[in-house]
Amino acid sequence: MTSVMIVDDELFIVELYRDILQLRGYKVVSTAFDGEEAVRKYTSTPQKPDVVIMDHRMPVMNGVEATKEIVRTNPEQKVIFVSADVLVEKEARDAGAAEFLPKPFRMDDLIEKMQRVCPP
Amino acid sequence: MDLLSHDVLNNNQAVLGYLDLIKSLPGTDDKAKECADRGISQLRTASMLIDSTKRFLTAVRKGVGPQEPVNMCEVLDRSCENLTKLFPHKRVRVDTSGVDPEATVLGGIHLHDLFGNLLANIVHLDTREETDITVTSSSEIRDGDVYWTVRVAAPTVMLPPGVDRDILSGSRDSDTSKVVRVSGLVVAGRIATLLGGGLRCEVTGPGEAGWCVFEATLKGAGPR
Repeated sequence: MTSVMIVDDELFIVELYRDILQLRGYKVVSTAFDGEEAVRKYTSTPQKPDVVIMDHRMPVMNGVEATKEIVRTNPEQKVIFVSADVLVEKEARDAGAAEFLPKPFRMDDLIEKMQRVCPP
Repeated sequence: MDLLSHDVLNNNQAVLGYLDLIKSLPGTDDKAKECADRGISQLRTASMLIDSTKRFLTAVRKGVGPQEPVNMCEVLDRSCENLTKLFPHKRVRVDTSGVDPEATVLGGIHLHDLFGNLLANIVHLDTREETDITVTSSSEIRDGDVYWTVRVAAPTVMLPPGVDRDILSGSRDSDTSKVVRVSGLVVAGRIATLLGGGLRCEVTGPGEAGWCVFEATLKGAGPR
C-alpha cells in the first residue's frame, strides 16, 4: 500500500487529503502543519513515506524550503507540491518536487499525480 | 489580497474536495452528482476570478515588468479547455480557426487570465444551453510596434445594461451598483489595459439583441 505524508498548515485541508487518499486505498502515515515540523518528522523516521504532499505557504518554513531539505536528505523522495499560487511551480520543481498541483484541484487530479509518481 | 486569495482558495479546495467525495460515495444518485457538479463549476469560476484578480493587483502594485511572449492560439486552446470544466452542463463551441497561428502577444500568464475570464464571463452571460463564440485576429503597426486585435464574437450573448467601454477599462468611478454579472469582463479589461492594450465591447450585427463583440488589443511580440 502506498504510504503518504501530508504537509499543510490548515487542519481541514489535511483532513480532506486524508479522507480522499484513504478512500482510494492509500495509507497516510504522517502529517505536519509547517515545513519545519515536516522536515523534523521526515528525517527522524527511518521508514520514509512513498509520497510527500507538500503545501507552499506555511508558517516557520515554507514548502519550497521544506522540499529542498527533504530531497537533500533523500534525493529519491517523491514530492507532490500543491499551491494556490501557480507562479511558484518552477521554484517547487527546482527544489525537487516531482509534480505540481494548483489549488483548487479535483480529487481525480490528486489521484492521477499519485499514480504518476507511484504507479500502482 | 495575496493572503485573502490564499485563504479563500484553501476554503474552495476543501469544498471542492468534499463535493468530489460526495460524488464518489456509494449510493450517491445521479441527481445528487449533478448538483455536486454544478457546485464544483461555480467554485472553479470563483477560484479563477480570485486567482487572476490577485495576479492583476500584484502586477498593479509591483508593475508588470517585461512580459513573456505567448502564442494566442495556445492561450485560446487553454481557455477553451477550461470552459468545459467550468460549464460541464452547457454546450460551448469556440471557433478559433480565424486566429492567425503566428499571432504572438506580450503578457505571459496575464493573457491566460484575460482570455480565461473573458470567455467564461461570455458563456456565463448566455442564458441558453448552447453558446457559440467566434474568435478572429488581425494585426496592425502603430509607431513601429505590432498590435494584435483579437475579436471575440458571441451572437447569442446580451450585455447587461450599463456595461460600456469605461467599465471594462476601469476608468469610470461612478455608481456601479446596477452593473452585474460582468466581474470577469472587468478583470479582463483591466488586464488588457495593464498590458498596454485595451478591451472594448459593442453590440452589433443582426437580430433584436444584436451580437456581442469584444475586441482585445494587445501588444505583439515581434514583427508580423
